Amino acid sequence: MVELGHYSLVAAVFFCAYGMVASWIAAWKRNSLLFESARRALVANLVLVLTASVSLWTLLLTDNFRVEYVASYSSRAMPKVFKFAAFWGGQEGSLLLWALVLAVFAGLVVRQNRHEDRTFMSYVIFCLIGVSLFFACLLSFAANPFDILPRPPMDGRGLNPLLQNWYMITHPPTLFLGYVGLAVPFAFALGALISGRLDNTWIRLSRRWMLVAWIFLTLGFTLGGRWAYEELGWGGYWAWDPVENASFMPWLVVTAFLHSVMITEKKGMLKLWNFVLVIIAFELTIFGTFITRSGVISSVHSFALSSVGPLFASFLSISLGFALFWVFYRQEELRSEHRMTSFLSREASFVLNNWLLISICFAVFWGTVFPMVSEWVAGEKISVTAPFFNQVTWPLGLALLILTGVCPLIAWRQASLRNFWRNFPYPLAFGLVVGFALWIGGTRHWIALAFFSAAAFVTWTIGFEFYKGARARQSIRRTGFLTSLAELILTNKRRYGGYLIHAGVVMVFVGIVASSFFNVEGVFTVREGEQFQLGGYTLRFDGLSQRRDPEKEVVFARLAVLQNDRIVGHLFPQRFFYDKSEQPTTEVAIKPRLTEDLYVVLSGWDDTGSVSFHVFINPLVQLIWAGIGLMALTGLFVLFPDSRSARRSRATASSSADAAA
Amino acid sequence: MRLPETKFVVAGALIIAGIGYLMFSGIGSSMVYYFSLDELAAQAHQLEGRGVRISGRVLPGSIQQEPEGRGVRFVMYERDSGRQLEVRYGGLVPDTFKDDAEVVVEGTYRFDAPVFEAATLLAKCPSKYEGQAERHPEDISLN
Repeated sequence: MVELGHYSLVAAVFFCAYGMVASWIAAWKRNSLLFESARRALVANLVLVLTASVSLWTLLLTDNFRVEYVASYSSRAMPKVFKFAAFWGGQEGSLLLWALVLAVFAGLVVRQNRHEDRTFMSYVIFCLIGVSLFFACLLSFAANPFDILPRPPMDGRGLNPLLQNWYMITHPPTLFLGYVGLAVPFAFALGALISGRLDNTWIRLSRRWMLVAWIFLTLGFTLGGRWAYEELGWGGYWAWDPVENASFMPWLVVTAFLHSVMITEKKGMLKLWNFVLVIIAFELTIFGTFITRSGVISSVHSFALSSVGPLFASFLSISLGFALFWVFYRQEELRSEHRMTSFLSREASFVLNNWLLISICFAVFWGTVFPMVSEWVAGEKISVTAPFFNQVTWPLGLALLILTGVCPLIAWRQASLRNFWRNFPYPLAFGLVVGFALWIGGTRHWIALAFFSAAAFVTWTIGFEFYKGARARQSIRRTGFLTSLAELILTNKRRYGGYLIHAGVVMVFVGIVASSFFNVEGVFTVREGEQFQLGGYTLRFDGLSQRRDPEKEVVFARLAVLQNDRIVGHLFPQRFFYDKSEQPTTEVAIKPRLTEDLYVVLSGWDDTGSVSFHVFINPLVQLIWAGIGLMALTGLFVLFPDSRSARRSRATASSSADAAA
Repeated sequence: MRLPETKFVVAGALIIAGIGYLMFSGIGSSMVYYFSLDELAAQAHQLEGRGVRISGRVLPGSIQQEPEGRGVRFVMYERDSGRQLEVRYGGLVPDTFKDDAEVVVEGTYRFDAPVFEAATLLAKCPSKYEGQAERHPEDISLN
């Protein structure tokens, strides 16, 4: 198994290298035989990477501790499902997962687009197999998952206890599907640039993949946030940690892309910009994989010491240089068909949206690499902390939120004063009224007030769009209001799906603002039978108990939650003491409610019988999860083709000619 | 039609300036210097009021729980030079915090304070990590 896995990866290197050469020549000489051969190299790569992956899974499931990777991340007593998930427990396996997902996606791309133009597809294959080659090289030479230990241990070290939960099973693959999904639009973009087929074909092909990647990235970093919230026990879900930023940055760029392509499809503008966005998004995923997996930023080791560092750095610079060269080469052909004439237009609101998203991305990037840059330039490692990220993202996020509401109201080309008076008064008034009501209600935090007003403004706008559309439909078709509303959404998914996603965004914003500014916490030390209070809750400590689970000793506290002298629930915050690990882990007890989470951590106890708890009340956290759920589900819903989008995609092939005319 | 373009260039410049301002002012106020205990001692006199992140180890036996669960007090030391620093931390200690663990504390440096008040505390398991702060699965799994 070990040899099979390792040599499959080495063979994949050769097949990928051959495929790159073959696909390039195939496009250059218009040789269909070589094209077919390059396609098969892609399939061979899929088979080989799949073989290596199955080998690693077999080694993990059969407890083969001869293999260093298995010994490091698995152990005999671990449940089967965690042995399976240990595949992506460390650097080598994660890179193999990247290669595997990429190989599968590449196979799908080639199959789905077998009727597309050959020259274009040759270059697409060239790019996909080029990225595969990089990962095959990494896995064969720098991060081999099949390294053998000279003296195999009797049992493995096991997966870190903090990772033994279902988030570990779902979070990494979800995020990786998102990351790797971005390699496909990158290949389409370069295929279009190199072959010179610069019409909207590549956008039509990429948009779906971008949406898929967007959904998985959204889910991926949310699962990460929930993991932090439920497993780490510090009361929050987002710490602006480099690895969190690494998944947030491509998400911002993809979001920008999904907006800017609308302008390209409608107005023939921002053509060059789309290419730049796709390229940045892809490079950020590679960069993200690198910083996540090498720990280069939080680590005390410097950049060059990481074994995969130089390889990642060279691949990043080569692929970025190659892609930007082609953008530069084609820039004359990527001129906009229309010019923007006014700030006060819907086009301008899309451009501003892109600027804001990219600005946030740039600020996050800068903050993330700051320790690396400062070490390099000044010889001192200087990091920036959460306040930096917060200070930059509050104003930009607020501007984005407001823009979400302005965009549907403002006219194309050039908004007039009449446009303003017709569309803006009600939503603006609603926003101000909500803000004022909250102020009367005692909210004095001005950032929060600004966000809640903006959220109200946007909510009105979105609600009114649905109302207006359904009414218009109702008056023509004479159906009931709800039927009209459902039909409206179903027949115009992209537009109304977009609004639904925006509704999710509003929920997330409100949840984040509420839980950041209005949370309360306290530390309480009590004895059995004593009570303590926080917010509207009274907690009664009913004693500390111990229980034996397979693999671990569990200490848990029994708490009764009282409101108005009535017991409304019980909470059992716990501590796990794994046999394999010296460190205990905290198991938070959360009582989730629509309005707020009661979040209790068992922080310690002593011999005298006093026990301390760290208690948080986090308002509206559930709204964040609900908002993200709405965003992801709507994304999926938009993904399924409807009659209208099918017609449109058939039309786009000829639309650029129409637009030019 | 030169006019509209000038207009957009000016607007773009204004936005970039605004974001630049946000970033620079943000960096200035949230910058944190990484030091080992020795480096800290060498520059201590010019760090008054600055944000610092100090790495070292927990001196075995020095951990004292403050009464009422109000945090911990411990001594950090540098293995090679033996230099020490007393630290107080009011928050919840991570599970990895114990004797001889590598710790990173962050806070505002006060030259004349006998005890360093840490605002955050990160701990790494002594033998297991490759210099990783415990925060995220990817970090942790590198053991």
